[in-house]
Amino acid sequence: MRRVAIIGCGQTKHGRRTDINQAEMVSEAVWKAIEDAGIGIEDVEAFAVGNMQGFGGIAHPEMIFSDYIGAFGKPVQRVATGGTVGGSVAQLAYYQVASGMFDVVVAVAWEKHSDSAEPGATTGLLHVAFANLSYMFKKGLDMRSFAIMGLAGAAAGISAYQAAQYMAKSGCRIDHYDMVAAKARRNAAKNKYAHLKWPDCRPEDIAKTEMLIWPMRFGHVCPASDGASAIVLASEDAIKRLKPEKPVAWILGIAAYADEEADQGESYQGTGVLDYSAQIGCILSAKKAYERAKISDPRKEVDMAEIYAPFPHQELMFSEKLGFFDEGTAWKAVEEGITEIDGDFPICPSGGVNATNAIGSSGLQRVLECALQIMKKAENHQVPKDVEVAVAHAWGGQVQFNTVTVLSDKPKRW
Amino acid sequence: MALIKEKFKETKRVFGEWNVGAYRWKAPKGYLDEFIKALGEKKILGTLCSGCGRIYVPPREFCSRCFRKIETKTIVSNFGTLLAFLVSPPLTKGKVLIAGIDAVESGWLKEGEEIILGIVNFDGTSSKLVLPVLNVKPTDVFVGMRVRAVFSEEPKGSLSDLIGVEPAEQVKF
Repeated sequence: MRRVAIIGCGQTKHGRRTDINQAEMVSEAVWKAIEDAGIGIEDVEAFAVGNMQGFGGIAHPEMIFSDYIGAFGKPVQRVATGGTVGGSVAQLAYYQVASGMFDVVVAVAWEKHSDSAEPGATTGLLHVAFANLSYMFKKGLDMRSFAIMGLAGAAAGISAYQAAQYMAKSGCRIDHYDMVAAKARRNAAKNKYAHLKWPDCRPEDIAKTEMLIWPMRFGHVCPASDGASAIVLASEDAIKRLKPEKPVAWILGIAAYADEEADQGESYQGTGVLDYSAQIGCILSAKKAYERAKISDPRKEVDMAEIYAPFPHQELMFSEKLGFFDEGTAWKAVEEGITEIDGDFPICPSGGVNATNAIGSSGLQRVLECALQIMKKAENHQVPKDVEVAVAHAWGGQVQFNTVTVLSDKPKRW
Repeated sequence: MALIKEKFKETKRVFGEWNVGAYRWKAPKGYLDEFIKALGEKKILGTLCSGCGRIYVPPREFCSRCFRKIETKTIVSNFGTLLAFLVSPPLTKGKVLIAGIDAVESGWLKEGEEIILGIVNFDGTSSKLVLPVLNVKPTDVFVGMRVRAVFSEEPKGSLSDLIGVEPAEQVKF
């Protein structure tokens, strides 16, 4: 396996982007990344792309926009892993370069929620569940039970269960979720690409928002954003040849694991098998990625992390699964300000997925944001401490799939 | 780039609807018919993996942990533990839209009711079911609560026979 680094990053302004269409939005991120890398389109050999399957109402978006991103006559590969997709796109590009197949690859992931009347839900989420639901109706599922399930359906509902369970297990309170959400809004205010910005947002401000379904408030919920993120990955040989002027971010280790199918299953068979808060896929991914990156004590050896946390409790829960804090203690670190942008272990200094969620983009954005911190290019949301090693996480699939990517300012020496 | 952006403040909008059409999915017979039949007798059927000993409810044909065919069926306890729960605010019209349909207006859910949804682990099983928590005030529900299955009064052998769970006797020590 060859050594691989991120040499350029590009992202669009995330938010409601009715000024452009999907192809233009994706091209905006790709061109920015290529420009940032200081290379030409002729240097790019292949593209790894992805968004949430079916969202935006276009089944093969890459076919439409491949011209816009300069992919004519070049291989374009799409990967689809649900919400995790951005993390998987980054890993696909890594495989393409590390394997020796290509020297320079562009990875781009995106979502354009505002194109559909009901963000994502109609074209995307129902497609995920429709076969299963049809079968359940056939077997006597009544409309009342269906509507009750619908009250807490999909990833948001599952997240609410996780939030309740995390509180019971760890002893934290809803106030701690308010703190994490307020931190996300404050950090986002410093990030010019973020969506939900709220300078000086206090936990009390979040606490005033409506309780949607206990224990989740309106202020805890991520927005449905439009946006695209792109990175340029290059092999060590290509870096010697291209001589990028700016610092690069090396990828030390990656891993992706799924747990058992969690929520649905053909013919009702997988329903509810999982403990939604177990997230064994995250634990396995972290273990393997750290092993590949030769990290034995993540809390000491990692400097910051970008965690895929659309809801505040997930930042706490996943930071424990990723080995940064002991099980059930992450909320204490939040109380002590350890995870603040200027803290000892900053988490989601970009504002994270809680402040900006263009689903496909979100996973790749975590990798991109870690790279920016390592390259010291994060501008107003650059963390004050030196970032040598950063961890990017993504969550999704059938709420059971996780990716972990470890980045560093130095290439691995093995 | 962004060619259209330079000419227009906002991209021209083209409206469209997408009828996703009809499908004919192959539904494997599996153990679901037997699961439903058992519900009609106010019993919960699971399957026991002979490899790792995990019991799945609803029953599965194979174990995803040890990748083995499961052939042993077993009736599991009607009692279990609540692992997590959610409480809805009092429901009103316009609040609950499911696939574009107002669930209160269509009568699926009642105006003003508060619904508690729980994740239930029936005793001895390795899987969890999402079920409504009935006959209890939202303020009295807690994680770890002992619960028992509630069946419809006249079960007819369908998925809706298992209505939810209600609090069982809480043993304090």
